[in-house]
Amino acid sequence: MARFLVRRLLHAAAIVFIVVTFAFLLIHLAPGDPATAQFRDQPVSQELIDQYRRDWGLDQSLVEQYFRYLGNLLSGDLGHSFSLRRPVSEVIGQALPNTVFLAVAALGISFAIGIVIGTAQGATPHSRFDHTLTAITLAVFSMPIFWFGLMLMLVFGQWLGWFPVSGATSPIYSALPFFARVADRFHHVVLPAVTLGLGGAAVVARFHRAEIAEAFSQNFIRTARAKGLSEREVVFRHALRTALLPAITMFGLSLPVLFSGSVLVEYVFGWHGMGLAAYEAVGRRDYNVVTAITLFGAIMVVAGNFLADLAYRGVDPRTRAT
Amino acid sequence: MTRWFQTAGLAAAVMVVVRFGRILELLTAPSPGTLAQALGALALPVLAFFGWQWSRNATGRTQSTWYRLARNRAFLWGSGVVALLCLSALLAPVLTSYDPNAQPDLLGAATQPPSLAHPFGTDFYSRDVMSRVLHGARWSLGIAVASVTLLVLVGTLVGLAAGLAGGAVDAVLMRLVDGGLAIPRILLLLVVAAMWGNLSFLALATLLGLTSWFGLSRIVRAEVLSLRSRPFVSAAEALGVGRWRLILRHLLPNLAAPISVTAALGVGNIVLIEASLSYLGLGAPPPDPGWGNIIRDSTAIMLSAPWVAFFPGVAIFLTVTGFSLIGDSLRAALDPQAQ
Repeated sequence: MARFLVRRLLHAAAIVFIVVTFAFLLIHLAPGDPATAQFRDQPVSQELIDQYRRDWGLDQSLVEQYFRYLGNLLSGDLGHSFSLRRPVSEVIGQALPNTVFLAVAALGISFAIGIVIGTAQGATPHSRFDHTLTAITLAVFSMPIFWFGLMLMLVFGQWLGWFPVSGATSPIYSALPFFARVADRFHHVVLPAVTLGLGGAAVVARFHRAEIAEAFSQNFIRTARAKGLSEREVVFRHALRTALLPAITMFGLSLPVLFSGSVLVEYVFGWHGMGLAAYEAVGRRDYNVVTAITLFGAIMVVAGNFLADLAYRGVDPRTRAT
Repeated sequence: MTRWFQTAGLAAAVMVVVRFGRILELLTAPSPGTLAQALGALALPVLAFFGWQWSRNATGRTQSTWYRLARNRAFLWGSGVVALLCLSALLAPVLTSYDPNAQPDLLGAATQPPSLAHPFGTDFYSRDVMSRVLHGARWSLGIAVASVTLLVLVGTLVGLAAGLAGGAVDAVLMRLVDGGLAIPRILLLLVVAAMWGNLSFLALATLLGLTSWFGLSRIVRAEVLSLRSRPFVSAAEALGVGRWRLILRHLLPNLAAPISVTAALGVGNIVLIEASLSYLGLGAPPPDPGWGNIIRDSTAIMLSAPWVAFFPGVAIFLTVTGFSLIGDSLRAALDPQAQ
């Protein structure tokens, strides 16, 4: 187990290192730098721009900048955000809670709906019910997520007026009492979380349907039926239990997808999280914010994979042999 | 399959009759491009007739992959939708009389709801939305097809190289692939597209293709490794078959299934990604239409004129669904064990 852990951690560190290097090179080789983006359309002298570059070390060679960045990173310093004039860790610290809140809500929706639908489909394979749900999940899966968000916004925000159209909180949020604040947050998260979560639910349902159908073809289900258990018990006690194992893997693997989707959903709903921060930073050539968020995304991917493996080893003894 | 061609022929005939005036107009126009489109529109019913005749004979060979596909309803629906979209992209000027970028009347004709004159309504600049969606198909589908071609080439080559060479080459290539898969894709594209400024058609297609091959190369590598342990490949290697002959005659035919499935699903996937990028402001150079940037242009008037955003979204949705159906049924037809 210890050897497995060490090997996987080294592997993960290598991937993260590759990603950081790649992101760093990509951003620094692109035309333009924070100094030009900072003073765009402003009548400033060349001396001021040069001074700015010297102050932030932007005039050094790429190699020097790279090693300085890596060194800072290893000591936990993510650098300075040029456009927001604050440490990057502060920018991320502010955006992260919103993103985590949205992601947890969306994950909850994905797995709750996906597993219910997948189980229902897998228990009655090739029925009309199964085919209808397959068509629906395919349809949800095929919609561009930002368009789906816009349509939900239109129908439930504008026409029906059930939910607020954008933002993470109301303008009067800070004046509200505690419980009203909590309610306000949940009220605002519904539309973005449904947008982000339903696409995931379709993926989970498709995957889970196959797992349940697979479980149904196994001998222990025949034994359970032969014992005279009710169909309910066969589905919930036997088939669902086995099929939930692979769902754990799905859980780990869906973290990064959620992160990518959140860039679009946060943009559509004006939700101030990591995705929107990344989008804005790209436009302002804010090197350090972009690299830090890319790094964060890569860590999510690697950690998701790692946790999925680990959880799987925990619940399924057969995978421990290798 | 026969029914498919019958429906297509009937639809094409109806189109020719309804749009006959426009076809004549294009036929007499001096440009060779519009001439070709008008002739294409006229030839469609004839082509569909020949397709119908041919499909009546072809579906007899019951053991072929083709037979399994032709009997698969998902495949017929998927290919029908895709054919419809491709044809409407090619014949856009025949199907609509409006110039997609023309702003005929900024004050009088802006943001009008769907009507007979403008079936999809008009946008904020009084442009005809149907014309923009049809012409936008050229950009969106063109980008997707071009970048999937690149995806297949690079993914297959890297997968083959890693699987055949083994050792250090394999290790380095696969770590690169791991890294590529670990970068949040939308962020990577955003960075590149934003920093290099307005991207041309070819540049965007290359960019999308070069960031999408990681998954395929992994699949190809795994398949190559498993094929190499099979007796027919060991036998070929033992007989001293050259490397290229081994690849072309023994490996590639057996890789056709995973590659074609990935390609079919890849087109839908790239249409989605390209639309997302365009929606974030990094797509077709304005005022040219692409499905994503039609939606982007309409966000300001989204709540008062939802039809502008609605129709391009439906077009994206149909494309992705069509290619998913094709990909899933290809997988089922090429791999009998999966059924």
